[in-house]
Amino acid sequence: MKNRPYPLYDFPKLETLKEVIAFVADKYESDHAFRIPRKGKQGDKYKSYREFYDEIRNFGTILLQKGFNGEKIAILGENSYKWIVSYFAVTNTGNVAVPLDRELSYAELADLVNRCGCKGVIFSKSFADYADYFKENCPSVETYVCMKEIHHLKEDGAKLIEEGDTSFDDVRVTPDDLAAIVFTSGTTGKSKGVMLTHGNIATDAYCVCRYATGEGRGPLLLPLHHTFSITANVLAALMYGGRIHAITSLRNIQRDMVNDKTTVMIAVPTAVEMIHKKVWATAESKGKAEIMKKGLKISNFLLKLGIDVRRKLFKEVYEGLGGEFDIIICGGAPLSLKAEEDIFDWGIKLMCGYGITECAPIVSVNRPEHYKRGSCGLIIECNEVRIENKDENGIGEIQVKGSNVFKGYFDDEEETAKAFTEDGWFRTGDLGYVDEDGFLFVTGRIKNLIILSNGKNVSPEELEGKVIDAIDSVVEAVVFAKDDAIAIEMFLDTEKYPNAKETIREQINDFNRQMPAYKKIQEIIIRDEEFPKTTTLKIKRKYNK
Amino acid sequence: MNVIEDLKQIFENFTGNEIPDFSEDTLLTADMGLNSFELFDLICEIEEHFGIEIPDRELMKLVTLGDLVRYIDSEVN
Repeated sequence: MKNRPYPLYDFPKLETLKEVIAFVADKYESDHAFRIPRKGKQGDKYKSYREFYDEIRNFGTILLQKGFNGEKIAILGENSYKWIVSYFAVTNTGNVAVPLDRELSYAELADLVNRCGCKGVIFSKSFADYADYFKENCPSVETYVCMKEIHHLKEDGAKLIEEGDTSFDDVRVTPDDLAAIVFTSGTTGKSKGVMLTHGNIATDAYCVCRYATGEGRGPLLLPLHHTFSITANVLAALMYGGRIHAITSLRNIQRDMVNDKTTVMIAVPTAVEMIHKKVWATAESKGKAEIMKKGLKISNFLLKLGIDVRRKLFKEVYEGLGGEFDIIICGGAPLSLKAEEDIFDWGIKLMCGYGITECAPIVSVNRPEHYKRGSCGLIIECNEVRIENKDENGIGEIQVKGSNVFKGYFDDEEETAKAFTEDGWFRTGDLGYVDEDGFLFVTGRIKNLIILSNGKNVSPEELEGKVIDAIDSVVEAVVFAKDDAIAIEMFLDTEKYPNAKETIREQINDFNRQMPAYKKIQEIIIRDEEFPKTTTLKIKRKYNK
Repeated sequence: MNVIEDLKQIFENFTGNEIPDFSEDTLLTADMGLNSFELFDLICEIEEHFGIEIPDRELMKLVTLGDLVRYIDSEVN
């Protein structure tokens, strides 16, 4: 392993999602782009690059025929091939995709649909109840398309094209055109709609491809409404001619990876740490943990001499992952150093990076053979990073400028203005530094946002507000992260509600039943007196990282 | 079939630890030391054991062991 700079991979510059989809169809034609799981004896289905392109074109033609021209269209459903076809049909026809987080409530999603003024909603069958709710509560929506119908709509679209309809091909999208509005947690509690252009997303994906190869086979692990999933799990994989295993659920992920002989995995730290834990647990259960520890020492010693025996020595680790596992691209939150070290020592290439939705999202990434442990890698060429307001250790706010940086927050000029400096740099709200070799290190946050190791962001203020609204006895609340989970400290009104302390656990359980998994409160602390306050009567938060 | 006893066995086999306080109020993630990915893995084992399916959206509503027991009971019976 050399671990030194080496040339970036050659890749044609692609500036819109339409260019990307056309390029990969021409280049990879009949190669498999997707493997689609199917239950029963029929076996999984495969879609070639050309078929994928044709289905986008066919469905896109129907969207244009339905009058969608420069409109916002929400997409809601579990991860699936059809979700991806929908996303590209929308964006390739000059419309704007509004990917929705399927874990949010009816009211929360209806609010996002209304804020965007969506004219259409494409939803999967298992979210038909959401569509019903939107029909009652989202007056701007004129058309609902169930993903189950896409099969027939594609055929209709194909027929129109055969009869001479060129509307899909005639649509010109430019790099500056809006492609998607992606909602992200705001520190004040209200989520913000990040406006990403074709240029933002395509450039970021193209750049990532210059730093690492995404060829091979990989599962669709990350939820598609996140930019990390679209850019890395989908676009970068397609640009390299990879095959995406379009699994719809995370259960049986290890079995799916073994079955598909996964070579590349795009993941958040929780998933990587789960693999790390499983490998050691398997070694322990087979009585081989000590052997593995000795093996690591020998292997690391040989590596220093330039002899790499890792894949042979840790053959069982690879077999447990399908036998051809090669690379993990990890982002969304910091990865534990122990997991990072072991995974590398087993010979799996690990590329940890840093990103943020507003940068489409990747800002920096370690390369397989040029990396620094504990860092978030080299700053990718489509953007620049500067560190402002440095402290005595050289740590300051990470600010970004580049063609991957978003246009602004949808319908929120105030937040957009706050997000940029006067000279046009995006304020990430994260703290870090760049070392003398150009590696970015992220050390903490200025903004009051909890970032969990599953990549999810949680706004403490939002959750505090919801708890106070939901539970009468809660007077004050502070939400914070503890051991990578959400905790809450509360001051209760025991005068008015004498049983408040006895009932609070079950009330929080009830609250949790309405919340997505990543916002469920795991630990409760009750305090006997009010929280200490600042001079402006704000609660003093001691739990910021 | 004793659902709680069977679940205790499954959880303990999965985590490799004894779980002394295994009651209705036990939280499925925090109290068992599981993260969301691990819970998914474990749910597959539970589904296989009881011969049921727990859709992802239903899983989101299961916060405590009591929730899980009630769900399994309703599916099995």
